[in-house]
Amino acid sequence: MYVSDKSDKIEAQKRAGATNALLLRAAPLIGLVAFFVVWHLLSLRYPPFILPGPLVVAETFITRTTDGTLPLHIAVTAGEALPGLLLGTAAALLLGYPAAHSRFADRLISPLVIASQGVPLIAVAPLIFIWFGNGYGAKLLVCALIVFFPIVVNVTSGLRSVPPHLHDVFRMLGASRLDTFTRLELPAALPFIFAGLRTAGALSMIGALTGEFLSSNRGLGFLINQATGLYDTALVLAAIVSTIATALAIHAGIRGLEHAVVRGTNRGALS
Amino acid sequence: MLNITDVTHVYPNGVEALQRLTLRVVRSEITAVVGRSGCGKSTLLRIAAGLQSPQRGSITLNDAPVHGPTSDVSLMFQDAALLPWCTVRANIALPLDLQHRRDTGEVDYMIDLVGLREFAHALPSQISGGMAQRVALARALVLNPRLLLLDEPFGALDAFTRESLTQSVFDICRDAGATVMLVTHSIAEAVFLADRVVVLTPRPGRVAAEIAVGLPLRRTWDLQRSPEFAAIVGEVRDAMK
Ligand SMILES: Nc1ncnc2c1ncn2[C@@H]1O[C@H](COP(=O)(O)OP(=O)(O)OP(=O)(O)O)[C@@H](O)[C@H]1O
Ligand SMILES: [Mg+2]
Repeated sequence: MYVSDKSDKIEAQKRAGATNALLLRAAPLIGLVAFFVVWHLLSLRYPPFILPGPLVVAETFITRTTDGTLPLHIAVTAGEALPGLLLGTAAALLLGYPAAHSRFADRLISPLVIASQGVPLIAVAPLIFIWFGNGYGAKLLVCALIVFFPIVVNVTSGLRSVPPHLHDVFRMLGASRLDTFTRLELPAALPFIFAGLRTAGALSMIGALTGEFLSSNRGLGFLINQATGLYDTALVLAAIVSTIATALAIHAGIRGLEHAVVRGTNRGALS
Repeated sequence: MLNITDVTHVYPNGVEALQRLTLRVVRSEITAVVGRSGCGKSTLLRIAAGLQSPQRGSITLNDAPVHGPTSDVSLMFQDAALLPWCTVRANIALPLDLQHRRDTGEVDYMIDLVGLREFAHALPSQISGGMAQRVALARALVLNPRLLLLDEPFGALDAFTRESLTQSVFDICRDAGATVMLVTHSIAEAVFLADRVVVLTPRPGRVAAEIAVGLPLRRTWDLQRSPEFAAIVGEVRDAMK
């Protein structure tokens, strides 16, 4: 009796566990569906130029994708965000390395780094346009400025994360600075750097959009600005969806790169 | 070969690890250092390796003062200190790589020696603590160093692996005529391996006794049952009290 009782319990637990797992899997979907249902119900109460429903937005998204409008503007914005991200990363590596190695450099740089996080981008971006003209380079700078902070913080803690014993191993073997960086510090810091990049990926889109809002005749920021002026709310929302999709694509790209790089280092690039 | 003279080392937090310690490691000899936990054995090895400079005293290697690490000296750390993102093989090959030397079969030889052929492509996270120690040992041996410093190389091994690995390390070092300073917790191991056993006092570490092991140069574990062996073990034990 007791035994079967117990196995019944285990069965019940297993079933409960399976239901839980299913729920857990479905949760994101449930959330999204609920969001769209609420949106749809709300949109029934307003005219479309105030709040178009999800179906109208989807339709606009599809027609404006097939006629090439959205792809063009996405390409322009991504073409600013990605190089801006690269520029910010390069600057973060250049400043993070000395900061991780010398207390003097750290103390020299860190007030500026911390201040860079507090910079109100929307107020500084116009200044950048005044100083550097309102061309492509200024837009990259705006992107770089916004991605700089999360990356530099991660680069510095990543480089500092190397256990002292591993540094001793490299010292014992007379490793050069370059070898120590490429074979010890960089691989140890990579997970940190990628964590910073993932945050920075979405930020770089915000940077690019900010630049376009201020001055441009192409790009998602320009499109949103223009459509807002025309009360084409459906297009505004379609452009926002495009922005989110692009940010997610950048995120996924960084993830993919991370997996490839981590697998590469794990395979023992040394042997 | 290695002369440590009147060395005192105090850590920045005020812990005095070594006090006026004088020790000589003779060429082609195996010197074992034993002592209670925390008496400064690892500190002594780090100083001998040139990773740390003592507050007082001098260290010379072949009559030249030691100011920093050199490639003639190899140190195996108490914790294995492997690169987590490199395979067993890549970890063992690291010293050759960093010195831009070609691998002429040493790496495979070392992998076989420590019995890790099956795990050559495993990552450190996929092997046991004892295996990791064996990798660290192989890495320390691969450059054929003139002076080999071993910090509890057999700590995390089971009795049988420990015996067989001790035996192979002993044979390699004897064959190569290597000079070895070895830290161990096991008195039997110290007596089995060494030509001389140095006993340190509890912290701060000083030399309490230096005992010459007058056993034959070629040894096997059967020796452990002999009365001579037991007598030397007893002598070391007494010195540690
Ligand atoms: N980096 C350090 N900073 C401060 N104190 C330290 C440091 N390293 C070691 N010590 C102290 O110095 C003393 C000697 O340490 P050491 O590691 O040399 O001992 P040990 O003999 O190797 O011990 P064990 O047998 O447990 O490995 C200890 O009391 C320890 O607390
Ligand atoms: Mg120790």
